[in-house]
Amino acid sequence: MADATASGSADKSVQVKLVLLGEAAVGKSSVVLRFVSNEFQPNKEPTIGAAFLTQKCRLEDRVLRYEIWDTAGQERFHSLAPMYYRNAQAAVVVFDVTKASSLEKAKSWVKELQRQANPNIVIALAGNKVDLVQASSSSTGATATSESEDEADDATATPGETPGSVEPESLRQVPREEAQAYATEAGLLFFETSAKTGEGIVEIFTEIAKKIPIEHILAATRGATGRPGAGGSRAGTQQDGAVNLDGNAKPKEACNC
Amino acid sequence: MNGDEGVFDIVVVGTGLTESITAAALAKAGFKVAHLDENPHYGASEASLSFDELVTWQSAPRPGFSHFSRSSDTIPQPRAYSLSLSPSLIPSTGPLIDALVASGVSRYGGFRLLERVCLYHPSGIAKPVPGSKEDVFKSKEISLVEKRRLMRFLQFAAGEFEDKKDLEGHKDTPFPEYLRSVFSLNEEITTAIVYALAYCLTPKDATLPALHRLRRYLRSSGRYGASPFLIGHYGSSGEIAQGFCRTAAVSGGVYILGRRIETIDSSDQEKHIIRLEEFPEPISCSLLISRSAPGISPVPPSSEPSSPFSVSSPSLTVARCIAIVDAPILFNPPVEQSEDTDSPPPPTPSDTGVIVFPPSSLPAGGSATASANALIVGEGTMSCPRGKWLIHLSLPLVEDIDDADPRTLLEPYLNATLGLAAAPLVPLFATYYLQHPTPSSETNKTEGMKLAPTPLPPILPLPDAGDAAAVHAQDLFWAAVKAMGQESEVAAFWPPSEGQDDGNDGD
Repeated sequence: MADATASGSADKSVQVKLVLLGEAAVGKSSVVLRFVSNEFQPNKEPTIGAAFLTQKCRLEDRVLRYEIWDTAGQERFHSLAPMYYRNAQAAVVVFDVTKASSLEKAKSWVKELQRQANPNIVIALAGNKVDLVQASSSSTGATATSESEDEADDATATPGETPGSVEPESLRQVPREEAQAYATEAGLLFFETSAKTGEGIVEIFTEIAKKIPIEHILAATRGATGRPGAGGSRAGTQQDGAVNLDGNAKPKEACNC
Repeated sequence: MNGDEGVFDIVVVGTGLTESITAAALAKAGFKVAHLDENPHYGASEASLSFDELVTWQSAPRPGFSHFSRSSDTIPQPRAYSLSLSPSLIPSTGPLIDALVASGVSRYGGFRLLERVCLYHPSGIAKPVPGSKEDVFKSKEISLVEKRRLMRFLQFAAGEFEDKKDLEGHKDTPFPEYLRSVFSLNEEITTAIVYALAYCLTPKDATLPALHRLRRYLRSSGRYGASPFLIGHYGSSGEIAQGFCRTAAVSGGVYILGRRIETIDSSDQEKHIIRLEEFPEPISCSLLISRSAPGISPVPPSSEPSSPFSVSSPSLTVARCIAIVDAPILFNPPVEQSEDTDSPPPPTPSDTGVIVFPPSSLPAGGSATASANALIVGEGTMSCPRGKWLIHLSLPLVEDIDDADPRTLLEPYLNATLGLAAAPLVPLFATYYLQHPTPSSETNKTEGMKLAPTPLPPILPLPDAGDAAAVHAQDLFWAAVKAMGQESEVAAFWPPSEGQDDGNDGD
């Protein structure tokens, strides 16, 4: 597309910073792992050493490159740094459909995003662990318990809060309609997801991609200086005076694109 | 918290840059770390605050700071500002850049090159400073004889000067005197080297540390561009501290901000028990790292004069000002851009620049004993909205001035800086304050497993604060590893595999 070409090189995708939020143990890390690696690790190690994960997302005529930031547990005692929200163009706020309080927490994160983040941020609400409440699944009480432990957000090192061995349908504490109504009212995308089965995961990232104002990001990237909140400041193109420390330490190329 | 969740190997108190780098390195080395700060924000005295956070921060007494004054409590778009409490530059090569790259923290933040450095001249103009041999060569203002002397000096300063005859007997000589007597440099060039290339704070700064600094800066030039220096986005140090804290968290570190420490019980030989305000369970640790650990002599900084933070680094009170303006300060362009014209081109705006005020450079009102700096940053550094610029002024106080008023001291410098704009300029906002050295504790008592960092001097040469924090973090890291009895297990300050921790790539 013309804009991509104009930005300097046609093969460069548009980089989009996406932040994850949500109560501990709702499965934030697992949602990302499913999206990025198409995996679900029952005994996933804590996300040690991963600064952020990247994954490309193809739409018909464009490619987004998500840079996905996990909270690394800093949300737990309300100690998320402002840096976390900076330049985020998208957010996925995760709650657990088997835990009503996690939706309340999600709502407070949405408020926090509206206060702290870029006003144009695209926010999606994800009701995770929907596999636990699907009667058609082969879930027995035992698998439900183990799955819940698996999905504990390792980065937050929260003890697994297991719902116990109950019949699947009765595990649901957040009716789909209730979450949908809230999402509509707050202007959020909404999906029910399962990091375990993969349900809804690709969809949520694809729908976010469709809503991201890519032209706006490209325009901001092309400008002489990046703008706070407009994003794209690290989208690969060397702006005037901007420096990438991880580059091979060479002098800035004269580039007046 | 329940079970052994509140049990840590190490608790670090305070999220200043030194502590944040230390916490990240310790968490990456595999220690279970909790990092606390009584402030609701990261960065301690190096924080970058939004406008409203700054007003709140100044509304209570802050240890190490005094004499707050500000022109107003409100400004449009308060959250679009990142106001650095102690701003600094980052040399393109050095301990901080090494730590940023080795830890992967460089990926979290953006950086810009410092575009201009000018030297303020009593006649009211800011002259560009030749920063490299090329600049000197192109300069039309310097006579041939002076050029030759200056080139000779720059060659000497960039090389291995330690054992050269030119240095013999002069290591403690005041740097300006050394340049005049040994290299026969004239007054103007001496002033430029001392204050605008080596960033000396006073005319009494010793030759050897100044030469070490100058060499580090000369070698930094060309790595990422012509300028040796970088500025981090969003107020630099405070944002960089957040990046190291995030890295610590990604490695399992637990973060608790905005909670006052009520008690620290060290009566148990094995552990410290820390109670936090409005926090249900106490947390415990084997090793406590805290500036305010009572009765502990701090981990000393390096004794190497080449270190950006050594035992001999002077610790002076500093007067600071942050001003917000809505028109650019104009800088005379660097020498290289004027080579093809006979008359120097007019001054132009710049997104980032430093104006150095040598002693006695102001016609009236300035200091005769210390050098002041104005660090000017615009929207490209993400620290203010479009169309606004921040002027950060700093002046070390050499004499003990009991009734020092930072506003009286710095207003002449602010006015001189504003005088460089195209039209008369009135700041939208200005705040002034003093930052004081931490009184040193003279005790050698050891009580349980505690370590204290040596607080950085309130003012260091403008490009040195970040490097000083990074080298001292390394001192602290090794002291902690030793205290934990893990010297044989921990091989390096940063694990060698780091820097490629980007996770998988969806290609």
